Amino acid sequence: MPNKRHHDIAGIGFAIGFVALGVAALYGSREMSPLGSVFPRTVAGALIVFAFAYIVEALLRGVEQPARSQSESTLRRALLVGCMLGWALLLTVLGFVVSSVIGFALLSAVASYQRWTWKRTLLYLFANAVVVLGFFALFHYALLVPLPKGLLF
Amino acid sequence: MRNSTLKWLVVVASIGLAGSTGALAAGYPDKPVQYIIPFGPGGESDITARFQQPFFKKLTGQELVIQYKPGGGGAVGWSQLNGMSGDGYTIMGVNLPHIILKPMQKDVGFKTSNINTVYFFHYTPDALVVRKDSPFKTLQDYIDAAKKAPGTITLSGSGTFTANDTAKTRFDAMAGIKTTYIPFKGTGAAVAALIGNQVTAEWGYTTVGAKHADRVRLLAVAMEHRHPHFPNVPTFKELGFNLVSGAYRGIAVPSSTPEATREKLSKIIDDINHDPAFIKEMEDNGFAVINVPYSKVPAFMAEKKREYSAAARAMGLK
Amino acid sequence: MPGLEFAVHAFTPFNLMLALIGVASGTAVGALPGLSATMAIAVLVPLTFTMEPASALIMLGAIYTGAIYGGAYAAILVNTPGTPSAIATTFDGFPMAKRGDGDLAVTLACLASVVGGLVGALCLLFFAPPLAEVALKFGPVEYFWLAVFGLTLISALSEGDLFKGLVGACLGLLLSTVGVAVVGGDIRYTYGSQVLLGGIEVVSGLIGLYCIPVLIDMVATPDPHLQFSGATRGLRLLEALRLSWRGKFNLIRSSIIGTLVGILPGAGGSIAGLVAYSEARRASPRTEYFGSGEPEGVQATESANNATVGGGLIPTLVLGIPGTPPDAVMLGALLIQGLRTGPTLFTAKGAIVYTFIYGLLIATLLMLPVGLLIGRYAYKSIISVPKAVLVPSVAFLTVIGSYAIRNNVSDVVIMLALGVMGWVLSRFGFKPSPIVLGLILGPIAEQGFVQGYLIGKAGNNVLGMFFGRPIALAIIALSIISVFSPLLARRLKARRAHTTDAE
Repeated sequence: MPNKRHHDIAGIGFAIGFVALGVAALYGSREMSPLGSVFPRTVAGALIVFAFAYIVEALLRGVEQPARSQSESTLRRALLVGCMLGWALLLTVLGFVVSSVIGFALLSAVASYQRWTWKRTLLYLFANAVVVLGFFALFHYALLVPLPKGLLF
Repeated sequence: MRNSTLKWLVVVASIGLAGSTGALAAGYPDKPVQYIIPFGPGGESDITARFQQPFFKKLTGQELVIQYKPGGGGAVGWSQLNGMSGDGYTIMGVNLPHIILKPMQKDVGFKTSNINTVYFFHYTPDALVVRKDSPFKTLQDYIDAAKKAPGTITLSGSGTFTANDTAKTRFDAMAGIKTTYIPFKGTGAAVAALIGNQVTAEWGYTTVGAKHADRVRLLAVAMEHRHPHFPNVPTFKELGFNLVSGAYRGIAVPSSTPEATREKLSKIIDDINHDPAFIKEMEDNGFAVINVPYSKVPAFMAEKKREYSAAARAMGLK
Repeated sequence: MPGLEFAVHAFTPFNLMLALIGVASGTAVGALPGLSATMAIAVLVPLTFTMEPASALIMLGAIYTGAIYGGAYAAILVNTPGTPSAIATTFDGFPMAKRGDGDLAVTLACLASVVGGLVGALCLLFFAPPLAEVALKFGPVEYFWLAVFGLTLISALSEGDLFKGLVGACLGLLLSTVGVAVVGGDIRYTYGSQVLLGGIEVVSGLIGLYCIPVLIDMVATPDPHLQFSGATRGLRLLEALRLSWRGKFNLIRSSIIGTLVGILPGAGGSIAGLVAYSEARRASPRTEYFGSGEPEGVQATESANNATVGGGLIPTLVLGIPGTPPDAVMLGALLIQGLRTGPTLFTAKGAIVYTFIYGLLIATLLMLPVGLLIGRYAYKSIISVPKAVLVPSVAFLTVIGSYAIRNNVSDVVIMLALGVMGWVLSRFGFKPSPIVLGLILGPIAEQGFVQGYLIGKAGNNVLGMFFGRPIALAIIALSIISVFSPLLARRLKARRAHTTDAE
């Protein structure tokens, strides 16, 4: 059964968003010097033009909607992003190694589709330690990068 | 009896405390010092820091570890300076006119008064650079050409509201000419434009003259006296223009750093600055060593602020 | 061969060891997104103070070479360019990996990198002075048109929807303006945030827009990340060699493009890869397959970006103007050793320079066994590591990598924000490549345009400036061809099909 052709509502929505972005960029350039504003204004203008062009094109013809696999887990996706964000924000609070170990462990859980066994968990924790500490050593001692200290390690 | 014991305890404790801060300062540095350069690697700030590295090690026995924190032409690093630990083991490079001019623009995350500089140890004097085959043999040739055709002379330079930009604005005002400044991203790009014949001349530094001696020459340098490496190049002052300027570089510490540590650090940099081998290395590469220790910094900054304010107004900053 | 008498110095055990270690560690550095060659080289500079200048240069050059090659691993296996120079490798590398040809892609990348590196180093050896003069002829206007040419690739990368691609490119261009403007000094679109004052860093953007979406999709299903086509067929070396021979013109052409782009200060490996990819696509009889896993695509980009190593050293050594950021660091190291660039470097200090160049050639050759070996293990490990370890490891690398660019936690947050945005946009047809293209080419296009305009205005010749210079005209012509040739090719094909039908 062929995919239904219908209007790309989401795409049009985004295009409208981009038009708004272009307008906002133009507005934000009002205080710039003549030289500094040339490029942003041109680009913002082009953005508006192209976004409109897309809206017109999308309205004139339908778009095929790609088949989406049913078994995709939106929850896990959201958890991934949430965990990483928390991780980034906790870097300066808890220190690099601690927040990374926690982050790694949480993401391990999010990405794991297999059953929980003690052996597997220990293995993952071992990998966690090796990766985090190994790269910490590389960056801190070899590359001399000042990793965030925070309260703990 | 209790009172006297208490008093005695207090006295001992205070001596202990005073002694320990003194001891802290006396033992400083007893581990490596992080030297943060708020620019990318390979630039003048990086190179002069690397010149200092071996001398620092020789003097203190500790490593000077150079790290980079580029962004915003230095603003990212300077805006984060005072949030860093003030134990004297974190120091940061600072540049003039940047730390004076940048806060005048908008909210860049720091004010000039926030930056606690302990030493200004060199500057790269401004210089008017031309190609070896340029028709301008003297500064006067250049001024005459500019007067004949206002605005047609193009000069490359590094960035806007930087030392190069400021030098052009000030000199044009002094000489009563009008030229066009073309900002480039970094001295390398500005020199490439000059050598490649894309622009007529460059507002650069003496370091450009040293590095590219085979292809460029300097018309004049903005110093009090002629640069030892360029004995044949006149100063602007000699030719009647009171232009002594350039990009000054110094070292600052977070605001929480104690006075004793600042003085100690200032003394160490001062000692490095007086080492003849260091001076020679700097001068051979076109840098000009100056000694502005901690005690003299406030007066120096005030003077520089005065100098830059007219130019700042002309550039539309104030 | 110039300087042959010094070649023997390059063969000392110490120098050979440095070349070997350099290439191996450089490959590892390049493979990790966020770790750049510049960083690795900058850290090792103090080590070089105790060495002979030639040895120091050999080590730094070997690391650089390895890093540019190593970027291909992450590009092929996780769709994230390990270094910006590997952006174009993701176009065909990752699709190849998804369909089970990842090992072939890695081997092809290795062979192509060696070819490219050799061409670049040989050009450095034989043609450095004249090529440096060519580099000087490129002024702001030429850079502007070059950026425009790069942007015409959008039509190639838009995968069907041209306007979406153009919108993405404009978004990237707009993002590139955030921060302090070089010309004009304005502080743009920062809304008072110190974080944005430094602008949006390309590598943050790369990792965010390419890698985070891959991670987000990895956790969504239990399917393995890459297709694993049965037993490991070793390195598929013979197959790769055959493909490389078949694509020899592609390899040579791309290497030359890479060298030429490399000599232009400020245009780095990323642009070289993109231009070479575009040309390879245009000239290939298999045009339609580009973008869905065509080996020629990987060959083109990898040879071009490794050619920039030798190419970038040309202006660095001859003019003292660094061709790429790692060159700037190496230049600094040279200066500290007391070496002056320019003609004297090749005559008075010829021993050092020629030893270095031969050492670079050796390092490039060493990349073959080293690269193949590492490639085999990299591929096997990505295949066999379970998602529960792979996902957090890659995520960890993105965090530490984006932090380490400028030692700033805000870069991590920016990376994540861009990543989520990139994933959302990608779901609805706005692919990341045009955005990244805009981000990289934006500064070049803007500076070239405004600088060219200022110079033109000073001479009352703005139009002549932009449209009257020979090199600029050549680039404009290339851009026009690049935009219209896919359309023409399609037309020709349709007509041919039509005539055969009619017969």
